[in-house]
Amino acid sequence: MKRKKLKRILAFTMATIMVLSATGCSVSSGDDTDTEDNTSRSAEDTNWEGAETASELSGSVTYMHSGDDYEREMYADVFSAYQEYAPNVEIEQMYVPSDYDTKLQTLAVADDLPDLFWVGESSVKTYYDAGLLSELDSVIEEYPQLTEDIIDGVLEFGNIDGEQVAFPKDWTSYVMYLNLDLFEEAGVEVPTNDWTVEDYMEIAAELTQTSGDRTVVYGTAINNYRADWINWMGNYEADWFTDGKSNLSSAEALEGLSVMYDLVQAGSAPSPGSVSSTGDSEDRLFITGQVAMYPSGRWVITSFREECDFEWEAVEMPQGTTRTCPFICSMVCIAATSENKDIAANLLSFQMSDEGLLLVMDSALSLPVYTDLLENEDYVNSPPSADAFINSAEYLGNESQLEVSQTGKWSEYSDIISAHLSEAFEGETTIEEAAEAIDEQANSTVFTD
Amino acid sequence: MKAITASRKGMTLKRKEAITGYVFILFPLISLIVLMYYPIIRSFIISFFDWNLLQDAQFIGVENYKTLMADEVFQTSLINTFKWVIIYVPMSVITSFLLALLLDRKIKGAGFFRTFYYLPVVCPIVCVALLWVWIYNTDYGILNFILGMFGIDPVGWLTDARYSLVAIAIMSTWKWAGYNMLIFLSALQGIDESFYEAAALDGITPWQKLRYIKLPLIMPSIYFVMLTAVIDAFQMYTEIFIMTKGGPGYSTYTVSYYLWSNAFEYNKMGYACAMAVILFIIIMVITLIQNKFLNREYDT
Repeated sequence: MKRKKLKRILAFTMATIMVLSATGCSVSSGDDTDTEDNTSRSAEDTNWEGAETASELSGSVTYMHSGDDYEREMYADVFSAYQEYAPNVEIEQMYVPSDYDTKLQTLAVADDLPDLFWVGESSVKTYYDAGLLSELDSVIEEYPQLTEDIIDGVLEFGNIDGEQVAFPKDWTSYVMYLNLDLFEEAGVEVPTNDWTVEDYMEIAAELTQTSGDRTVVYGTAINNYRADWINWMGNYEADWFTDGKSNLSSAEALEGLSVMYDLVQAGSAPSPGSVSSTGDSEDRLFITGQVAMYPSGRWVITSFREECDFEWEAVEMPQGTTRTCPFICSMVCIAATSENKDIAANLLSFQMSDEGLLLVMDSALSLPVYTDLLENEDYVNSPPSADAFINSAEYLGNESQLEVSQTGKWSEYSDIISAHLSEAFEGETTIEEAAEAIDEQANSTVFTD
Repeated sequence: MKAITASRKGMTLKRKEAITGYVFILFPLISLIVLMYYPIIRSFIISFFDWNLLQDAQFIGVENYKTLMADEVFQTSLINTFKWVIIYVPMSVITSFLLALLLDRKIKGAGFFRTFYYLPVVCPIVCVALLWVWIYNTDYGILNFILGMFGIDPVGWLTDARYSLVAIAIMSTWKWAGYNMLIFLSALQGIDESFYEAAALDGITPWQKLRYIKLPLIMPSIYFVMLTAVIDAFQMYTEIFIMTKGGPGYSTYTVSYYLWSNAFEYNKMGYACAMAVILFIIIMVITLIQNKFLNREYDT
């Protein structure tokens, strides 16, 4: 009898533990921003135009974003600062460290989109077509500071069929990072912002160091990535995507892609495949002093500042017949289903205010979309010097990039380009053959309309 | 008698046991239906729709299947998948079997060797794949270093389309051989000693011992290992994702990898489901063929 009782007690205990575990699992994993901060601020303390409205708002919104843990803390600070103006607003921060797009899609399918969320500039169209995005023209009208001094062209990436449905929260310039120690060691003059592609190729060859049949330092590196393609093709005024069709076989596009191809063939840059096959990346090769010049976005600065034990600098990407800087950005959207659009709009306005952006730009992960802030060292801090970043705002974006972004098929197209270019970079095809194969495949399978 | 088997509420012991049995299988059954059979049926239905996840699905009949037949990347992926099965399955099964034969002896430290060969199985695949990525490194990898000692030029194991699938197959064999080795080993050690004793009296050679005693008696295990190895091989995805992302070019694209890209990168869920159905049919047909031949072998 005692044994039976003991069994019952054990069974009950086990069941209780299971129920408690299940309850524990069901608690929201979202980071609720601390709303018990008693500090409050008013419209008199700021030049942010939405402060007065914020004080009158009450309710809650969810904000979903990607990034690393550092960005999670950064945006938690933005939300805390906002709540000082809007004490009756609660913000649930939904931070997604990986596989962001899939999670966002899942929420969309479940009709449970957060009030505010990020979408890559090339995915806006897909969400717009599904009727998931709220229009932002009225938000811009209510908060005109949102578009004051905004860089030309950046709004277009969130504008579909004449309607603003996504707002660029920031952008990142594409520049060339230089290992100055390797320049000094090789006795090569450090390039300035007015350098050309010919200079670049020559310097890359001069900086390349070999030991026996192995390369110990590459003059430069290339990425088999959209920012590189857009930059190089755009530098030769290529209409690489036009009239809804891939056009990488055009002479101008080929000239741009040939820069990357020739660098690999000449041995001045490792092929992207050989780098990824080490489980490594081009930016790590720069950090470890194995690459002297590395083209990349502003996002690498944080790690360069922490890890580079040599002098480094950034200059503009070398000029071809012209210059183009790819537009790489996450756009902020408000869900069409949001029941708190007024709060969402107010929060967006705060995020894009001088005060909100200051909390984000300190990290140097990206750049503000406002020309006046670009000149301000609090927003575009150094090292490296800000000139290259500021200058690139003048040639930001590209018609072909804009057109292909608005097809909603960039991801598929991008994989086709990447696959065929990798064959060329590995020496299995020529760049002309790769470009032809890309156009043929993309135009017959992706852009069939 | 009736008074003994009936409970206080008049329920017979047999019935009570049956109810208990059903309760025990209820949860696994529900999870199997919800997590396995429902998605399979649903995938089959979705394969007839054009669905990008975000908008309403549109019925398009067999259009996805027609497109698949003309899709060169799918054809390449399918060929690569078959190549993978042909390379990996024999390599893996033979290696496991040889390891099991080596360990099926009364040797010192047999336990150590069993653990030694099984260890890669318990290592996370991500770590193993990254380890092998370094072993295969063209410039600094230890494999090319060893080859270099014999005057062989560096090989682009993961960057040359000719070698990449073989290179991944070697890694997978290293990773998983220990698992199948244990299955073979337990089967070999389950063979009754009397067979060997009787054979020894007849003066049987080691080869004859293997051919006429061991192989026939462990045929059920061989059947099981072959079956699961083929099914796993057709679904190979993780190694590709970590080591080559399908490259160089499309040389390591497999059906599973292309299916994943379509479903979660291109939002072409209907198209991806059509691929899943094709893959399902291929695996089912091959399993039935294996079942027919291997089962016959082991029945005899």
